[in-house]
Amino acid sequence: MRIARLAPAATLGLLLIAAGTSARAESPEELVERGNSAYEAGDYAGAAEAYRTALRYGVRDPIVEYNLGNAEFRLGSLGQAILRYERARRLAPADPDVRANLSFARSQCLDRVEIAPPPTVVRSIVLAQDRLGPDRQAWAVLATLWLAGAVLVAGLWRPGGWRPLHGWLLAGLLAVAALVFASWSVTVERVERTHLAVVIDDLVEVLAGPGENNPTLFTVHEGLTLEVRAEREEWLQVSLPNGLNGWVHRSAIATV
Amino acid sequence: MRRRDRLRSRAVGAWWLALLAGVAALPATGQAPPQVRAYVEPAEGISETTSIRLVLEVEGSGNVTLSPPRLAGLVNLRVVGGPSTSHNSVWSNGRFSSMSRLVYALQAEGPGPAEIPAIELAVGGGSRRTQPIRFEVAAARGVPPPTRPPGVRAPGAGEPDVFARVELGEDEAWVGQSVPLAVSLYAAEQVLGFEFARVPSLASFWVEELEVDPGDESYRTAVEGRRYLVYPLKRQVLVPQTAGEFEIEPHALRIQVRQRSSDPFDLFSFGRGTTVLRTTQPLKLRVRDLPAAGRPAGFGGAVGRYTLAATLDRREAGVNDAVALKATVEGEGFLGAARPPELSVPPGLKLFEPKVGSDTRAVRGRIASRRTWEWILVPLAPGELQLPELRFDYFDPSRGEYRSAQAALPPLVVRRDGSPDASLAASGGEVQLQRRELAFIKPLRGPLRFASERVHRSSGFLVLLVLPAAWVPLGVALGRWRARLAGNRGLARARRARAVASKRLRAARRLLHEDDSATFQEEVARALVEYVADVFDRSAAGLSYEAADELLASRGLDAEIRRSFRATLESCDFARFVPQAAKGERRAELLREATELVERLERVR
Repeated sequence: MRIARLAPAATLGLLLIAAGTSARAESPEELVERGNSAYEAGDYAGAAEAYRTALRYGVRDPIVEYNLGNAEFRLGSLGQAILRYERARRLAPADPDVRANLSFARSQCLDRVEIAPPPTVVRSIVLAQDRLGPDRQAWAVLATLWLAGAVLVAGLWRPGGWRPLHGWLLAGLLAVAALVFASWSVTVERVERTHLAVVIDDLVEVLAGPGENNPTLFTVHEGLTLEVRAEREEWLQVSLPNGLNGWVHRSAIATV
Repeated sequence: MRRRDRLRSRAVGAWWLALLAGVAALPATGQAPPQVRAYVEPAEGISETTSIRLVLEVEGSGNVTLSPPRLAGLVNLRVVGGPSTSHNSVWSNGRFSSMSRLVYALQAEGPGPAEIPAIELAVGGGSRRTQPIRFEVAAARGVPPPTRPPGVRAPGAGEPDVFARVELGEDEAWVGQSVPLAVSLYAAEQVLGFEFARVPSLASFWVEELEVDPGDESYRTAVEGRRYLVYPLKRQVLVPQTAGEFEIEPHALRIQVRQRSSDPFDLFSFGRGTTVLRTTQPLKLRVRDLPAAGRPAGFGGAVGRYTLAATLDRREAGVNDAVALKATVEGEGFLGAARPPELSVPPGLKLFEPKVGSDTRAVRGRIASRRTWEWILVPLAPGELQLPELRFDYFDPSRGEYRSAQAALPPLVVRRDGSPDASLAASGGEVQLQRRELAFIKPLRGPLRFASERVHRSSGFLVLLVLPAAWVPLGVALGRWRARLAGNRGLARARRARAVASKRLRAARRLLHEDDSATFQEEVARALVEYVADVFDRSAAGLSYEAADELLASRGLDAEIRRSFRATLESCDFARFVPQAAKGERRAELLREATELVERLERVR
């Protein structure tokens, strides 16, 4: 009898618990895990949706951008895939998988922009800068300057204690600090202040000016990465590495 | 400034040369073979007095060049001039193409059949053969000679013998049909220059200008028994947009000619230049509307006679590989505004907008066009895809009916892995990558990163960055302080005394709860005695209580401190020799007294 009286209350309680469980929003980590499971099961659309939802929480994680890039690529959205890889690269410049997939996706683009490759030395420097990233270089500048300061104080501490060794050491450290500072500035300029955009429409006409009434200078296809140089209302001035430049409508491209 | 300009112009020149060299060095792999054409002008009505132009053309992707061939085996013809050469390069839709042309002047040797045999042309690194050209040369009397256009009278005495002629390819045409229009200048005098004083309005037509080179394309002909040099001045394609009767107004030309002097003593002027005005005859064109009956749904306005060809750049591809489908429509007519052939793509293929190429030229008085569309197809799933037939609908003006050209495409085999089967069969040797593929997704290895600023944007980092600059004055200040310290012996001694006393008292504190009472007492006593010895720059050894008291008295210390000092030392001595007299609490009290004493001595020092 007693059990029979408690049954409705217990049922209501269970329902409330179940409702509470289903209404609880997934955390970004859970969303990414769900996206990964969907991707592994071949449900690329489901995976992409889960990753996008995670990003709406304010996540700025290279893994999420990279995984979303993979899902977009599998869905045939080459432009979106390259956009995501570019964002992942900006967050993790040294990640070899991001670099490899970006390169692979770019190889599927219709447009080829021929530019002379930089000398090996420059490529090695850029690679090293990317591997270190802006933050590590910033810390390296700081550490070198503090070390230089310590040498200075150590030399000045004892009366008559300043020796040629202190001078050479200080000069060397300051030179290293200047070098790392320059590298850091260049990296920040290249990674953060260069405004890149990716063509997301199948075919985009690049016009001579900001407006539909301007003549077409050339056409570009989905996935091509451009540099945004200026903007005017709904139009962006873009340039290609080979020097070509013109104006495109904002809706045709997505900024990295 | 001039030097800088010269340097700049040299740099620009070098840049262009490098560009041309780069273009010339483009690999020929994947490019269509160059197309070679040979024809004579005029195409019809050649008599033994006609100046014949033999045109050899080669056109293709990249930088095609044409070397002058050996013209052997001409039948009933002889070469009287040339070759003149011309070269055009076009960069369009990301493709570089060029055309080279050689023009020879020929003269028939007499009436009868004439033949230009197949000519071996050296094109780039290979060779191509033209088709032989055969035509009939009529006797000069048998061919009706070109006449002056209506309304153009023979020149009077002393009047320059030049006139202009306009020719329209058709009197009647259909809407959308290309009608060639050519303006030529006939000159029996030496022409120094010309300009159009008036050109007719052609508002009812789509007008396409074709290239013409009056100097290069000039030829000789006879009109009413008089020899003229003919300069083609203008070549246009008129494409009527509406039906109706149209009158094309005359062109007016301002021609500068060198007039021969009739003065036998005028030896030095070499004739005077004079400008004359010549107009062409007006023309009429009747344009009919295209019939509505039988118009195919895919008809896009192309009028002419065309063929359609379609190719895939490969028969097999992997998923997500790009496959190029190229359709070429060519033939007689104007294709400048033609729509692409109908292409319906089966599911499983992604189709991108086509790249379009177009070319229009006048060949033998007719308009020939070629238009290409190149789509990129990306297969999304494996399997065998059969692309449907391509179809291009057009209106044939010669038959007055709609027709269509079709082109079938081979099936496209799409592999899942995207790599040729042969590469999978490779065995042994160095391990090689068989295909490129996406790197797999990454698992989460910790908490996700959220939006965060770079390190260098934080104010703490900036403070840390600037702080080493503050170390310079700090180091200088420390150095000066150290120098001041080194110059004051008393101060140095006092600092040393305080440091030594503190050290002894710390040692005593550590021994506070140890059994070794004697060592504790000794440390306390030595702390006091060595302090006084250091302050007064004396040796601690042999410093008796009396001597210490005297030293303290010499500094004017009051008797109470001196008594405390002595009492503490005596307590230490007593406890050293009678250990049981200084138990735990007494030891602590003794240490406190000694510490306070040192502090008091410091204050009064």
